[in-house]
Amino acid sequence: MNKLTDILTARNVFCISLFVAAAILLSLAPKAAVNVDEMLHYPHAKRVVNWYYTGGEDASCLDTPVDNLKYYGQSVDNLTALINRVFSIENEFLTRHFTGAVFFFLLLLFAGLLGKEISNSYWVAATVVLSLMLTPRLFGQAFGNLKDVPFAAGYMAGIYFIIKYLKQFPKVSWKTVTGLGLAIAFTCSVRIGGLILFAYLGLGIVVIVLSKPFLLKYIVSTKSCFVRLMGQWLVIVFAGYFLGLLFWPYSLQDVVRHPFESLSVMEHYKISIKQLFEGEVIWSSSLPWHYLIKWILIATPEFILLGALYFIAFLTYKFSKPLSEQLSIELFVFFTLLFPVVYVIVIGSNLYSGMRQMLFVVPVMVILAVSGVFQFIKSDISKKVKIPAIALFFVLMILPFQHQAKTFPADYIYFNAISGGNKTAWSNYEYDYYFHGMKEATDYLISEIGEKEATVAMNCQLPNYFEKLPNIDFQYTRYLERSSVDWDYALFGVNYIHPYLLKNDTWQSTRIVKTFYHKGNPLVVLLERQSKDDFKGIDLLKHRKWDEAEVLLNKELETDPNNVWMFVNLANLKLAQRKYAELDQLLEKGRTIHPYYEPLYLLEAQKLFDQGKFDESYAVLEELIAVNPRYKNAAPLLKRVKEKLNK
Amino acid sequence: MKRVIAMIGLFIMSLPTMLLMAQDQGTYIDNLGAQDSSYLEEVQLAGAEQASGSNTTVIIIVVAVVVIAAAVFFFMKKKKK
Repeated sequence: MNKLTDILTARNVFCISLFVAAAILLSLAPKAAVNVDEMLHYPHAKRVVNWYYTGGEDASCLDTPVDNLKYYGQSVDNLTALINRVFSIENEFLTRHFTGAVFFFLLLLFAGLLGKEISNSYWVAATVVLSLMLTPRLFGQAFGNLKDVPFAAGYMAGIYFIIKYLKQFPKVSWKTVTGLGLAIAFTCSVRIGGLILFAYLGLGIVVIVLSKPFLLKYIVSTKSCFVRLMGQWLVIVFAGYFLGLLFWPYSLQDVVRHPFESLSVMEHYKISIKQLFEGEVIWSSSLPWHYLIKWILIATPEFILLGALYFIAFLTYKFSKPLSEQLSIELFVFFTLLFPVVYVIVIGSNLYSGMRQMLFVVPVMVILAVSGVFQFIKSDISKKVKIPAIALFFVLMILPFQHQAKTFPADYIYFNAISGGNKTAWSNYEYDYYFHGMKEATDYLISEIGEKEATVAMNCQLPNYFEKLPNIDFQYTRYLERSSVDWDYALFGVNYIHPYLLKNDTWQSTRIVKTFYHKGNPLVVLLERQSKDDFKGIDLLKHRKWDEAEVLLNKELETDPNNVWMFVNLANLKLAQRKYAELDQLLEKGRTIHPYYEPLYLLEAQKLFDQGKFDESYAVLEELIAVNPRYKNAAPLLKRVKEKLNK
Repeated sequence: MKRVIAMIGLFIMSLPTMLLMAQDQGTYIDNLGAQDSSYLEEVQLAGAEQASGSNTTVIIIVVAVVVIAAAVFFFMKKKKK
C-alpha cells in the first residue's frame, strides 16, 4: 500500500495523465476529420515551402489578394508541408493530424506546468490535463486546427515562462530566458498576435518594480545584475521577435513593417463571413459586442464554469488579505484571460466561427477553474459544503466526456446544458462550421458509389476525401443553388443555411436519401439526383430558350417543391418575358419557402425598375440591404436606381 | 418603283413596332447567386465599417499597462499602511 502511495505522488500522477493523454491523442489522430481551413492553409503552406526551396523564385505565397494568407505566419502548417515534402508522405493529412496531436500535447504540458506554477501543486497540473482533455471545443480541434491550438500552446508556454521569469526576477536564469524567447518566437510564428506576450512581460516587470522599489535601485546600482538583465532582455526581444519571422516569407520582406501590418489586418479582419448567432444571420463584421462572451458561456463545459466561479469567489475573498506572491500570480494569469477578451470587444474585432479564434484563453480559464477547486479543497469551509461542491465539479466532467465519446470526430460541436445543449443551439448558432461531419458522410457515400463513375457536389471545399478515387469527380455548390451544378450525388453540411428554413423545415429536399445526425440534429444530408431536369432547365434558360426551360423547371418543382432556386429561375424567366403578374406569383411562392432569400428581392427590384417605378425599386433594394448588405449582385441595379433618383 | 417606295415606307413605319417587340425581351439577370460562408472578396452595398488600425493596439496596451501598474502600486501602498 505504501508503495502505491509512493508511486502515486502528485508529480507522477501528472506524468501519468500526460502519458494517457498522449496515448489517446495518438490513437485518435488517424480517425480525425479534415476541416475546411486545412484546405485553405495547407496549399498555402506548400507554396511557402516552395518559396524557400526555390530561393524566393516562386513568390506565389506572397500573392494572396483574396484570402489574406500571406499575413499568417502559420508555422505549424508550414512544418507539416515541409515534413510531407522531405519524406514524400502520401497521406498528407495524417501527418497534419499527428502534428496537431503533438502540439495539443504541448498545450497540455504547458497548461499543466502553469497550473502547478500558480498553485504549487502537481495535483492541479494533473487535473488541468484531465480538464483540457474534457473541453470539447479545444480537444475536438486538436488534430486539424493547426493555427488556433498551437497558438494556444505557445500562449500557455509564454505565460508559464513569464511567471517563472517574474518569480526569479532580477536573478533570472538563462534557461528561463531562452524558454521565454522561444515561446514568444513560436507563438508569433503561428500568429503575430503572439506579440501580446511582450506586453505581458513588460507589464509584469513594471508591476514588480513598482511594488518593490528597492529592486530598481539594486538593479541600477549593481553593474553585473544590470548588464545581465539588459543582455537577457535583448535575447528575449531578438529571439522572440526575429526567430518567429524566419518561416514567414511575407514578414521577411520587411521585418519591421510587415509583422505590424499583419497585426492590424488580423485585428480588423476585412473578410466578412455570414454567422448564425442568436437565431439570426449576421455578417461577422457586424456582430454584437457580446458575441464572444456569449459563446464562452454557452460552449464551455459546466464544470469549468463552476470552477471559474469558485476561483472568482476565492480571489474576491483574498482581496481582504495582505497581497501575497501567490495572489499576484493568480491576478496576473487572470489578466491574461481577461485582457484578450476585453481587448477584442473594445476594438470591435471581426470574430467568427464561435470562439475559435479566441481558443487560447480557454486553457487559462481551465487552469483558473481547477485552481479554484483546489483552493476549495484546502479551505476551512465546512465539509458539508465542501465535499458536495467539489464532487459536483468532478461529476459534471461526465457531460462533456459523454458528448465526446458519442460524437467524435465532430465532438467540437459542443454546447453546455445550461444553454440548452446542442438541441437548442442547432439553427440558432454556428454548428459544424469546420464540416467535421463530412468524414462519416463521405465514408458512407464512397462505399455507396463503389466503382461507378459519379460527380459529387458539396457545399464545402473538401475534395480531399475523393482525391484518390478516379471514378469520383468533385463539384462545389451552395446548398440552395445546387440545381445549377451537374452532380449525381451531393453531400451538404447543414450549416450556413438560413435559420428560417431550418426552423420551418423548408430546407428539406425530396432528393435527400440519408441524413447524418449529431445529437439528434441533422448534420449532413446526402442527396441523390433522380433526374437532371433542374440542371438542364437552368442551362436552357442561360441560352434564352424560355419555353423549353419553363417546362423542365416546373417539372422539377413538381417533384421537389421546396427547391426555392427553381422559383428564382422561373421568376427570372418571367422577368425576361416581361410577364410581371406571373413573376409576382412566383416571388410570392418562393417567399413562402424562404422570405429572406436575396435573389427574390433583386428580381422584384429589377421588375419595378423595368416598369419605371424607381422609388419602389429603391425601397425593395433597401429591404434587401437590410437582409444582406453584402449581396453584391444587387450593386449594379442599386447604382442605376440611384442615378435615376439622383441619389 | 412605286412598290419599292411603298415597301421602304412600310418598313420605316413598322420600325417602332419592331423596336417595341424587341423590348419584349425584358431583363435577364445572369447572376443571382447569394454569397455564403467562404473567404470572400470585400463587397458591401451599405456603408463600410472603418478600421481603426494598429494605433488602437498601442493605445490600449499603454493604457492597460499604466492602469494595472497604478492599481497594483496603490494597492500595495494601502496594504503596507
